[in-house]
Amino acid sequence: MKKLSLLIFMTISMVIVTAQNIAEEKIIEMKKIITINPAQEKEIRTICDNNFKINDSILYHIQDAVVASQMKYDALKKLNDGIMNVLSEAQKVKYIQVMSTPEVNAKAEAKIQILRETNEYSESDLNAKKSEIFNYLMLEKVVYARDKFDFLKQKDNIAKLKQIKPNSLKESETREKLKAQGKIQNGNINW
Amino acid sequence: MKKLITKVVSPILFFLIISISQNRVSGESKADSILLSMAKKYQLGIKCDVNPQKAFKIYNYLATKGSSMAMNELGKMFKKGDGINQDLQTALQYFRQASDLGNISATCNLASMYQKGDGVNQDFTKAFELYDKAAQAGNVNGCYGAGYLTYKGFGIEQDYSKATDYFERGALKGDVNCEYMLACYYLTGHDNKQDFEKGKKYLEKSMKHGHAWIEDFTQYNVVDSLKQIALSDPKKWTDVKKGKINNVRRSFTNNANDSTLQGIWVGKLYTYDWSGKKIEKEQDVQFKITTLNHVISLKWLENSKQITSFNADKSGNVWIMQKNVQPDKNSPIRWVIANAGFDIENAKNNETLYANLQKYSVDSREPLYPTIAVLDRLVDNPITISSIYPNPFENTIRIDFDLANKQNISIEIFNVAGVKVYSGSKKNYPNGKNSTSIQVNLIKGIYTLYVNGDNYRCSQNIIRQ
Repeated sequence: MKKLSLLIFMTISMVIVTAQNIAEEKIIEMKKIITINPAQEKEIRTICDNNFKINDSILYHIQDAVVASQMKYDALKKLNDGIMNVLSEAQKVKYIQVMSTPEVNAKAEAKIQILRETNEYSESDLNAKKSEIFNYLMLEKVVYARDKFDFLKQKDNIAKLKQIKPNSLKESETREKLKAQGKIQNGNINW
Repeated sequence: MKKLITKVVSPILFFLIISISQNRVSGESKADSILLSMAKKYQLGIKCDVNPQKAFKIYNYLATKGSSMAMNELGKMFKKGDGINQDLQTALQYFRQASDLGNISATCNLASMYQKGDGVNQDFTKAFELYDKAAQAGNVNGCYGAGYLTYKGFGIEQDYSKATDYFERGALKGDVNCEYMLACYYLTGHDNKQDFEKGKKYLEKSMKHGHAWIEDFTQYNVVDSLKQIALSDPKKWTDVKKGKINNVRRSFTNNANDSTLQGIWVGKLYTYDWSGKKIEKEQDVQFKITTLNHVISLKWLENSKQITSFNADKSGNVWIMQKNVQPDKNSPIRWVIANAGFDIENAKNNETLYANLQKYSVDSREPLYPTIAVLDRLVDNPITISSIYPNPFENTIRIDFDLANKQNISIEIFNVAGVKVYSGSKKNYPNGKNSTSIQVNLIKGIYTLYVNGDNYRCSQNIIRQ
């Protein structure tokens, strides 16, 4: 009986420790990027703990896959919305920007590569274009990450942002489509 | 100390006063500029949530202070209904105020309102005046607007040369729309200035400035198609050009009235370019015109399918459009007839109707390419089959038919399932009695034989024994 009690106690402790670790990791990660006050830290910890608990229940107690996936989606939405609500606008932007830099940078580089193939631009031109493409894609990324689960809002924001879409990005996207049509050979348009 | 004030402080104060006064003169102080940029951020959602209401408040505050840029932005918001209720009248008012304060962008927006008839009666002449004013001030949208109206002859005399001048001015400043219009101008060869290389160059330029229509040009091989059309038969329209419809903009006397128009008319519809001197397209049409109380009702048919219909009443020498069938949103036909003129000419027992029909696009809210229909009155079917023998037949059939006028005839045979089983080539026959024989190898059954003319056909059942 003693052994069983010990086992149950250890299991519960492990679960609590794991949940705490996940929340702690998240807070450490965030603290590296932005300054958060103790009240925010407490709230984030609670949100992360709650999310862990729900995920844990989904994993061990829900048998219906559809119900489980819906619960997982709802939990993820709650986690994202919760964290975004806790952070101020400036904190959100900085956190998303830092977290997304490698991804956006890779996207911008891919767009620039298409322009590079035309052999029409010097490296300094391409650097300038990359900078404007990066800045624009980052603005989009902030919208996507901030309103990750509010698709209507995302759509509205992105539609508005498109008004300031840089020409270099538009050119790169057009060339990408022409390439897909098989109408570009060695960077030249095959009319 | 006095020296310090005279040598150091005074010049600083002097420059400060100068810079402040310069800012005031341009209408926007530094604080106003910061507020404008903040409002723009709220409007577009740059590093913040989209909040048009906040943007509106800021613009409104700046507009009351006399900022023409804020007025222009407010005008745009009211025009689109962006975060506020759409109000075209208020939009127009803001654009007008900003334009009066010298904001060229607002002048273009005001011109656009007149061009589309948003919140004001459509007035191409006024729109052109405003665009031209903006173009003179070096605004690219002004260059495009003025060029566009000149290109199509809306509100000003149509002139490709003047239009391209405007477009070239805009294109020099990197305006995509001007570059695109120049590309279309050179590719289509309006004004006989077809230059595919120039067209392609302008398309590529427009792509670099953010225009993506080049995708459609390459996807559908538009340039190749245009080249083929140009090479196929450059003299195709010579006869038409030399005839009475050499210029769509010729004056119509409108000599037809409701009683002379009544009947069925069959012929061709010619679609011209914007100058009205070059025919771009030809298609078969049929008009069925009935009258009631001096009002004509015209049904427009193509391939026996009704395309549109309208009623018109002649007042003095002008036809006034009445009931005009409005195309529904899913219809491929998105135009109505805005103006019509009808001339009837009699020659050699044959009546010809010249109909000048101005199509008006429901979507773009502007006239479409000018058209003229040239049609002959249909009295009776000019083709009659007098006999087919033998019937039932085995392999050879002789067809006797009468023609009211000289025309091209072809014979076709269809089975009961409607499948064409025989098609003969076209041959020209004179008017009067004619006959032809055909050799066919068909399985036993009932068939329908058609004698097809230029605009009509006549049929009779035949039996293969």
